[in-house]
Amino acid sequence: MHIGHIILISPAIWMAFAAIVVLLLGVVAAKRPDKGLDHYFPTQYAAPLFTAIGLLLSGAVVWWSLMLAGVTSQAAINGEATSVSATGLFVTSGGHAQLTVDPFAAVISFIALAGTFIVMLISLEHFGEHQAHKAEYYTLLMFAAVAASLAAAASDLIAIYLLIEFLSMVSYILAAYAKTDRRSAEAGLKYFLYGAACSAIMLYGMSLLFGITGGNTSLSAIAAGFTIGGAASSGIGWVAIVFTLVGLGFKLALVPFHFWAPDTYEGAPTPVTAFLSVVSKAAGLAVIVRFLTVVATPGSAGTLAWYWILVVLTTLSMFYGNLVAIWQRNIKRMLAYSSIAQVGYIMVGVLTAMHVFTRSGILMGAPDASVRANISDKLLPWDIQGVLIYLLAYLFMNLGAFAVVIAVGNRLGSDSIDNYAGLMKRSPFYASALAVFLVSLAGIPPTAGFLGKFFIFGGAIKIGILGSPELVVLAAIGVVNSIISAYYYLNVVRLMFFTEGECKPSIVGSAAANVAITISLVLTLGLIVFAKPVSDLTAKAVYTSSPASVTTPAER
Amino acid sequence: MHIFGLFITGYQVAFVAVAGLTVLAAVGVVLVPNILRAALCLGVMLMGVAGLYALMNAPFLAVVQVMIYVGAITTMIILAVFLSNRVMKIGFFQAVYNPLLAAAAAGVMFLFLLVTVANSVWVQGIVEKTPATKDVGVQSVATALLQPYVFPFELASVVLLAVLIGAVVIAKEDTADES
Repeated sequence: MHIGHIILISPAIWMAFAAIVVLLLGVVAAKRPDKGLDHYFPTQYAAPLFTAIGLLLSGAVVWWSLMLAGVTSQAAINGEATSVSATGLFVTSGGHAQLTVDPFAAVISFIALAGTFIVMLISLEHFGEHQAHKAEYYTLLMFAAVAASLAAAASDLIAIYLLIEFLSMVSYILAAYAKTDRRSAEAGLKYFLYGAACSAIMLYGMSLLFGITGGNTSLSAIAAGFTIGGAASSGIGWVAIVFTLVGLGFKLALVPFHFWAPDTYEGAPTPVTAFLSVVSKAAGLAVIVRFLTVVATPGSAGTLAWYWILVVLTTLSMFYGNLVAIWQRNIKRMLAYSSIAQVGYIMVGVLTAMHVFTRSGILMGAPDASVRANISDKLLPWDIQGVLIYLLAYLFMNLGAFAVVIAVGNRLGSDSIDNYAGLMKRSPFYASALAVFLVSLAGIPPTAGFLGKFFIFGGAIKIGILGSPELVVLAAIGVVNSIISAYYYLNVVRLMFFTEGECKPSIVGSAAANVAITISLVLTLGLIVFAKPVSDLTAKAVYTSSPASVTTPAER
Repeated sequence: MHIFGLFITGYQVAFVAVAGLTVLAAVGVVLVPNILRAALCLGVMLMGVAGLYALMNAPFLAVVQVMIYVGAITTMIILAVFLSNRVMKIGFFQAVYNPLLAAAAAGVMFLFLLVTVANSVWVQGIVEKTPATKDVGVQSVATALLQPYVFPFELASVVLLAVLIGAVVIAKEDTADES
């Protein structure tokens, strides 16, 4: 490991540092609640303020590094000459990386940090001024952001497992954070029990993976092991991968591993629910993309048994999430089920990406510079890009919806969908903002959700017609499900605008909530205006990522 | 020596003995109704795992297993049982729901894994030699931790800090004026 490469994980280091500062600040403030610091500065804002500073600084570094993506330089690491892109590789000895800090990771990191920032804003609204263990809450939130942004770069089984567990353990604590509330305690416990079981299965799968590929933890070495002796298609090969996918599927709440999701989402404090549904899922998806694109490299994706398992799970997730969401009377539960379906849509993009990688024939960790140089001229707006664009869209529309739900729920003291009747009269801003977010979640133009679905389903069809009919079928199922989901999303819109409800008192949320909603609103509507730069940025992220090398269209 | 015409080495005898003890103790953990005895069975099971590590030429791992799992974790479980018994008035007995269903599920899983593992291709050390053939002493463990695995090693401390804070937040009894 080159010491200079520490700078590549500096956003995470700064975040961890800021987390500890917030923790210490909390201790100082708690000691003398009336005197000292409070005299100069209201300490109740100190924790969120430092969280914001930490997040903004780290986000700026990630953004800056993303701008430099694609610039490569030669560097000698442990005597080997290695090509390092500006955002580069975090290489350990032997050329196998614990972390691969490539542009793909940078985009996911950025999503995680931006998501945590909005969650911080809505936490201010949700918990109010007098929050128990305030400093600890923000500290844990920042640690979760650290875990999520590092997980995006993890490219070694040990790093992947440790980071997934880090994120999970902090999430268990955050879910049970309102411990005087029975439902929150239940949420935390349920999440913990399911999580522990799934993570044990994942660890078993990883140990099998380690064993069958010749005793290596690095993903690139595992990919190399898979090419020898047909380990990928042998029975134990797919058992190992399926078991590993159990743990990752749990983080994503894919259908057979979703049991925890509705109760945890309903019981946990709403900002934590928002965090789990966006940031935690983004990290899980990043790991799954990195993992699948590696193990899918040898052979064709279509011939691998577990590829078909994933196709089935994706289909089930979409249908189950949407069909159950229709019957929900609680808006948090509705969003929980709908987020199961949303992950299904994103998984269509991930499965498409797998096909692209298997066709490319480029092994992870052995990027071919000439191939990449070829691609950068003619960017294609498809493939894994769709996953990143959809995640960006999902980040803003889902967090926006949660922000409105928190602001309204706090004033009404209830999360029942019936209470949204006539919201337009009580708060035109919240009603129209929520309408935009829900329309976007349903994937109706001209919102960000439409852009994301366009890229994902378009990519699936484009790759699918080249000889993988199941991708076309998945895209069709995705479109059908978008129509089903429009029913229950638009039902809330109908209630807000066209039914009579109580007219007063009018609902006015705190400034923090309004800022969060405004940011989400602008970006949900604006993402389509910035479609070109966003597409270019994500394309850059995909095509310059070292493990994520993609073939030229001619080679497909 | 020869038993029923099969040649059996001392290593194999030792392995079967230790592995058998481990499995028996693990079954005990699930089936023994008294939770304290279950915890003791867990201790025996963990000792058995340590024995397996020792047999597989990983003495350092075996010692760590005894120190951490048997020494610390089992002791913690027993302490927790005593404390919750005293404070919360919870009995010493664990409930076993649907034992037949659980046994069936575990049995099917075991057979499935057994068959798959037996019929699979195992790649022999392609990049480096497999650990079992190398000297896995304390020194090589230290080198591995501080060279290729320095990032997870350092990260583990951050994980522990975060979990420690979380445990305090969850377990701390809030006084009325705080919340």
